[in-house]
Amino acid sequence: MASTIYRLITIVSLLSLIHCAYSAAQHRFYLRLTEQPFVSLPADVVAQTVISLVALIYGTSFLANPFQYIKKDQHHDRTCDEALNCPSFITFDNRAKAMSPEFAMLRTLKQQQRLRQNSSRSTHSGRVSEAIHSSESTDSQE
Amino acid sequence: MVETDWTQVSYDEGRQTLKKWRECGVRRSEEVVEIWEHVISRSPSSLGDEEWAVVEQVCIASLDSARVDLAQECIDLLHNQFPHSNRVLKLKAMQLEATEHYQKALEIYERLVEEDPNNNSYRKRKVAVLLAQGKRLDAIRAINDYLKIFLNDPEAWLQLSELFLLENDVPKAVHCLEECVLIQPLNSMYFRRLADLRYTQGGADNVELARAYYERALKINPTDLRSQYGILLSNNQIAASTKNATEKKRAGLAAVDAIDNLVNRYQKISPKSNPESDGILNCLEAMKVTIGSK
Repeated sequence: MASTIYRLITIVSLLSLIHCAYSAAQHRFYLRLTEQPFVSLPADVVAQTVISLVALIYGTSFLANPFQYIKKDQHHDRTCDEALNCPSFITFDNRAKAMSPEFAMLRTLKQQQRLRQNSSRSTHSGRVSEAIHSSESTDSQE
Repeated sequence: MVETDWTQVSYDEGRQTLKKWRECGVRRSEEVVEIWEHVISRSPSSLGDEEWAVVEQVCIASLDSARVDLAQECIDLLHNQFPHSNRVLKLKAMQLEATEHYQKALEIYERLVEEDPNNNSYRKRKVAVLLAQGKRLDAIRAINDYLKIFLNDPEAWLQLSELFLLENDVPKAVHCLEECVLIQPLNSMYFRRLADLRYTQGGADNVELARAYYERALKINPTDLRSQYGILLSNNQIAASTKNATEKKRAGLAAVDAIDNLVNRYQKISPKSNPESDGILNCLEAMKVTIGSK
C-alpha cells in the first residue's frame, strides 16, 4: 500500500524532528557545562532538522485527502434552478395569478368595463364620452 | 426526499433559509411567503439589520405568488422606513407590473434611470416589462442595448440566450453563453449548458465541442452527474459517426469509462433515497455491454 509508505515517512520524520530538538537542547546543555559561548548549532543537527522537516511535509501532503484541482467551481452544489435563474428579470405572469381571487375580481371588473364601453359605443352617446372611454381602455389594456 | 413544511419551521431556521435563498437567487416565492407569514412576521424586528432586506425579498415573492395585499403591506413598511428611497419606488413599479399597469411602471423606470443612470437594475426591469407583455423581439433588442452599456453582466447574457432559445436561434444562444463563460470561467453550470446547446446543434464538430465542454464542466465540478451523462452520450455519438478507426476506439473506451463512473455514483446512493437507482443501474450495465461489444 502506498499510504503505508507515506505513513512510515511521516512517523520517522516526526521522530527525527523530535530527536533534533532533543539534541539541540543537549548541545546547549553541554555548552553551559563547559562554559563556552553559543555560536551556532552543529551542522549535522541543522542538516537533520531540514531533511526531516522536508520529509514530514512530503509525507503529510500525501496522507491528507487527495489533491483537488485548483480551478474549481466554488458553488458546485447549486442546482440548475439557482444558477440558471435571472432574478432581476423576474416577471409576474404565472399561474399564481390565475388562482388568486383578487385577480379574478380584477378580470371581471375589466370585462365589465369593456362591455360597458362596447354598449356606449353602440348607442353613440356622444364623442366626448367615447374619447374618455377609449383612453381608459388603452390604459387598462397596457 | 422529505418535503419540508415551511409553516412549521423554527424562527432561526426560517431566517437561515430566507438568507440562503436570497443569496443564491432561487425562485421559491410561495415558500418565502409561507415562511414570512407563519414564522418571521411574528417578530420582524428581531431580524436586526437583515429586516429590510427580508421585507424586500418577501415583497417580490408575494408579487410573484399574486399576493397583492401582502406586497402592499411590505411596501408600506419599507416606505415608512425609507421615505425617499428609489429602491422602494422600484418595488412600487414592480407592483404596478404585477397588476398589469405596464405603462405606468415603465414611466417610473424611465424616471429612475434618468435619476441614476449607473444603476443597472432599473434598466433590467424595463426589459422585464417588455417580457411580461410578451414582446420578445423588443426585449431582445432592449437587452442588446443594455449589454452595450453593461458588458460584463452574466445574468443579462444568460437571459438573452434564453430568449434566443425561445426563438429557436441556437447559434446566437451559444454565442451569449460563451460570453457568460468568459465572464465566469469557473461556473460549471455555464459549461454544461453550453455543451447541451452544442450537442443539440448536432454535427461532428459540435458534438466534439460538446464533449470538450462537458469534460471541462466535470473537471471544475466533479460531482456533476449530468456532465458525466453528457460525456457518455457525446462519446457514443462520436464513436458511431467517425470514420477514423483510432478515434472510434478512443471514444468507445471513454464512453465505457463514463459508464463506469456513473455506475460508481449510483452504487453509492441507497435505493431508499432514490427508488429509481436500481433501474438506472441495470440500464447502464446493459448499455455498457452494447457499447463494449462494438
